[in-house]
Amino acid sequence: MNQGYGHFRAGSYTGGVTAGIIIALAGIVLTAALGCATGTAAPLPAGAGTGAVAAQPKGELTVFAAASLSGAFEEMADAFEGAYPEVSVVINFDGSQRLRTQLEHGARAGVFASADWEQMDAVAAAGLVAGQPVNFARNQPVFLVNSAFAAKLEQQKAAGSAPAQAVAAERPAAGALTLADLARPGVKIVLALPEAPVGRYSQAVIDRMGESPLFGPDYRNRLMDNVVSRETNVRSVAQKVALGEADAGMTYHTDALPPYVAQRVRALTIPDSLNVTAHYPIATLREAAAPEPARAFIDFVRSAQGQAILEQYGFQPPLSPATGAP
Amino acid sequence: MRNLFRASDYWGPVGAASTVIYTLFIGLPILALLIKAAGQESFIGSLTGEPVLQALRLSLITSSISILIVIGVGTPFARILARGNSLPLRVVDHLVELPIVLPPVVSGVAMLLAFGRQGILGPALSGLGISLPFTAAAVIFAQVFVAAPFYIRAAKLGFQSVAREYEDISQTLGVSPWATFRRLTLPLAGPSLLTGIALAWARAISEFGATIMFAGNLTGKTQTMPLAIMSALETSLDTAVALSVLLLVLALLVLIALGLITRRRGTASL
Repeated sequence: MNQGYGHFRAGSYTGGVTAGIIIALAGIVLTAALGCATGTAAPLPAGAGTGAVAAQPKGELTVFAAASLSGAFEEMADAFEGAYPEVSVVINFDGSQRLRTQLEHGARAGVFASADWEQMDAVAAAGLVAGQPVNFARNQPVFLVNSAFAAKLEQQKAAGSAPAQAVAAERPAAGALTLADLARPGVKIVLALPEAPVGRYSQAVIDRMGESPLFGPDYRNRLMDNVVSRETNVRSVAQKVALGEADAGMTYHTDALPPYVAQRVRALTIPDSLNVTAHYPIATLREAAAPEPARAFIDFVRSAQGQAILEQYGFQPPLSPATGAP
Repeated sequence: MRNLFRASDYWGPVGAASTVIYTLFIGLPILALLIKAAGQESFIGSLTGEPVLQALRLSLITSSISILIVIGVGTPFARILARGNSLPLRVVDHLVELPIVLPPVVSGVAMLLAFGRQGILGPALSGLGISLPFTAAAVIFAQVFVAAPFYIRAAKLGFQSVAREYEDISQTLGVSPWATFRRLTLPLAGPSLLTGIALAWARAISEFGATIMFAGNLTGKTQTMPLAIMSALETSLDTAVALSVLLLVLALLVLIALGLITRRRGTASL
């Protein structure tokens, strides 16, 4: 019944058993020669021969990350493993609310990266977070519209066969598809479950649109009548629109960017005055098997290199590292 | 019980040990559900919300329609499979069982690719003004797809257990083929058919993966009990457990009822 994006990465230990033994032997010889027995039998990190080295994080790190981070955090993990060859990263992608439930019921992880503060606060309230969560990225909801559907609707509009809308949001190019068209009868819209961060953001935006004179009084109800399904995470919403089974759906701006989706959908931006911002917090977890890799991973995400990866996937930098939603 | 002890005699301690281990293995998780549910103050409250009633109603209606379709189409088909022996029929015979081994999500994707709006039949269906995904009809499609093999398989074995000679003799005595089927074959194969119905219904009412892929998840429209449980799990384990226990009790009642009918039928016809 797993609808999530379980994504497992094999460890990146380069050496085999032989290499391990050689390193271990070299370590023993070195420690003996230097006369500074540390009391641990663990092999020293590569390059220990040069003398003073800070303790390199090592081991396996499990990261629980929001489904919307899928592409970005896969690349993040690769880059992190490049910088810390002794650490292997395993990522579990799913709706943040599901990750939260899993954590609350005893799932063990080192890092939790959520798409909203509600889930992070709940995990913190359960006493599972070590230290303070910090913002590391921002994102915005958009409406995805299937390209084929958009083209067909625009043809209808151009031919004048469709009844003219009483209220149109903005009128850009004549006949172009707008957000107002999504409330036409028969448009099939998918949203995420209201418990999922993106589902909550979607609802907030739709409520605001309903109150705005730009869209008219019954816009919200007509739009909600068009909802045909509630998906468990944002990637399922994007997938149904890309497949053309649904005509439109609400996701994050970043979900429109992967090539498979980008070729099949059109993103309709929501006017800034009506949109909301998704703030993504990240934190180390108390249950972390190895705290050093978890801390190193968060530092990496917030470093220039980590932020560059996020930017490449369409995320914006955090406004402030402040805890709590700004 | 008599059978159990006979088996134990034959196998000795190994049989006894495996019986105990397996019973615990199956029983403990179910017991855990019941314990968790019993410890809730809001157990009844969790079950009386409108979404729950809608999910229950939808599950009962769709699984009933599904099982009627399965019986209606599956019975003649199983009868052909039981008697036929040509190569194409043997190929079909194996094909029928494929949905049993397919992961349900794959079944859902396959149904989208066949019957979805962009699927192979999509243009033809939309020409008729029909759009299947995200409808209760899609829920039934998904249930029939995954459940039918269980019935067809059991029914085929049931029909095969009726010796051909009986049917031949009946017809040489002047009984029409239809009357022979109704008065001889059907009663003899009856217990197998009922077992098949029970299995297929159980599979239909617990269907999840293909449904969420093909029919989506909307309260009152396509959200069956398993989907409601999944959605409840996003917020509250308590509600999810209450719903699970409700589904469990419902399933047990139906299986016990069918079991009783099978037993009575079985002894009467032998």
